[in-house]
Amino acid sequence: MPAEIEFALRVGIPILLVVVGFFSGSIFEKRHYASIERREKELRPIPVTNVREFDTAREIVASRLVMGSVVISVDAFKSMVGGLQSFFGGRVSSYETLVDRARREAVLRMMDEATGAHVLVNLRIETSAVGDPGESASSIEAVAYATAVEYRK
Amino acid sequence: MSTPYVPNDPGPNPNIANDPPWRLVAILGGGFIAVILAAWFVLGWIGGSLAKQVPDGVEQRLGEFIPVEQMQGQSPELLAARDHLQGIVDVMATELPPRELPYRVIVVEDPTVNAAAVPGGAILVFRGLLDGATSENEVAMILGHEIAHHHHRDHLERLGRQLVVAAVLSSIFGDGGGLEQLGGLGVEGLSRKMGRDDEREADELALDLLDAVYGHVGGSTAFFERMLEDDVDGLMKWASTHPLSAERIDRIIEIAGERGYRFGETQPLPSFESAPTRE
Repeated sequence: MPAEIEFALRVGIPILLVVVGFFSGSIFEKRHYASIERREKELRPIPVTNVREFDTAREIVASRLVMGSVVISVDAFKSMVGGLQSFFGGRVSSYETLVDRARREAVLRMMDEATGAHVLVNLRIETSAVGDPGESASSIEAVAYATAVEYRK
Repeated sequence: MSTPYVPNDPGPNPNIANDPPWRLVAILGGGFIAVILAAWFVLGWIGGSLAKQVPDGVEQRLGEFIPVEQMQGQSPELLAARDHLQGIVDVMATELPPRELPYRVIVVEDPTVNAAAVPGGAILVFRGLLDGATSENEVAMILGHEIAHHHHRDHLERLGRQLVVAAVLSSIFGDGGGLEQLGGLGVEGLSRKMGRDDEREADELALDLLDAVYGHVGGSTAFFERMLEDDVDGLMKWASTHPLSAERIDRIIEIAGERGYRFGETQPLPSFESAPTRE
C-alpha cells in the first residue's frame, strides 16, 4: 500500500531528523563548550577589553588588527524548538547557546591570531544570521575584532 | 587606565538557559498539539459542515478536475465488467434517496486491489479487485461501501475540513521552521483517524445495500479476509485510513447480527473474459 508507506515516510523522516539533530547537536555542543572553557582558561592571563586605551604608562612597540570569526549551524532539534518558541513568544532559549558559543569561539580565534600581544583593546563582536533572508535562521556567524597591542618589555 | 588586570573565573553563564531541553519540548509540544487539535475540531467542523452543503452542481464541477471517464479500461472485458457492476450499483441506488449525480462505475486497468469514490458520483474499481474476487457479493460489498461514501459525502467533508484547517495553520505557522509541515502531518493523521470512523459508517450502509440487492449479506467479509491473508495489514497499517481488516470483519458480523441479516450463499462473479455474455 504505497499511500501508507508514503505517509509513514512523511511522518518518520521529520521525526528522525529531529531525533538525529537532538543527539548530534547535544554532542557537538557539549564538546564545544568543553573546548571553549579550556581555551578561555589558558588565554585568561591576556586582557581583552573594549576600552580603547589600556595601561597607557607603558610604551607601545606594535599594534595590529586581529579578527576571529565562526559560523555555527542550528540543528534540526533546535530549529524545531525555536520554531515553537517563536510561535508562542518569550525567550528563544534554544538559540541562546548557539549565539553564546559563536561569540566566545570568535573571541578565542581572534586571540589565537594575536600571538605575542600583551593586551587586546577596542574589542567588537558582531553576530549575524547566515541563510536566506526571511527564512528562519539556519546558521549564525559571529565576528570578533580588536587591536592587538605589544608593549616594550 | 592603570587599573591592574586581575584574571578571574567567571561564574555560571547567565546568557544561556539551563532548563533541560525535554522540559521545553514537553511544554511547547503540548501547546502546539493543543493548537492543532483546537484548529482541527473547531475549524474542521466548520469546513466539513460547509462542504456537506455543497450543491451537486459544484460537486460535479469539482469531479471534472479528475478525468475519471478517461480511466475506464477500453478492452471488451473491462467494458463488460463495468456494465455488470453498473447494474448492481443501479439497484443499490434505488435504496437511497435520488440525487442529481448518478453513481457511475469506472473499471480501471490497474492491478491495485482497491476501489475509490471520486467527487461527482464516480466509483473507480481497479482491476485487481475483480481479479482476486471470490464472488460477486464480495465486489458488491465494496461497491456499496463506495456508494455509502458518496451518500455520506465523506470525500467532500474531508476535503473541506483539510482545506480550511490547512489554510488557517499555514497562516499561523507560516514561517516556523518546518512547523507548518509538522502541523500538516498532524492534520493528516487526525483526518486518517476520522477517516476510519467514516469507513465504519460506510461499511454499515454497504451492508444494508448488500442485503437489499441479494437478500443476505454473504460475501461481505470476503474482501477483508483476502486482505488478511495477503497480509496487507502489515506494519504500515497504523497509518491507514481504513480500520484493520480483522476489526472490520468482526464489526460486519456484529452489525449483521444486530440487523438480523443472514450470511447466505454467494454467487460467482461472471467471467468477463469473453464479453459480454454472462455465465
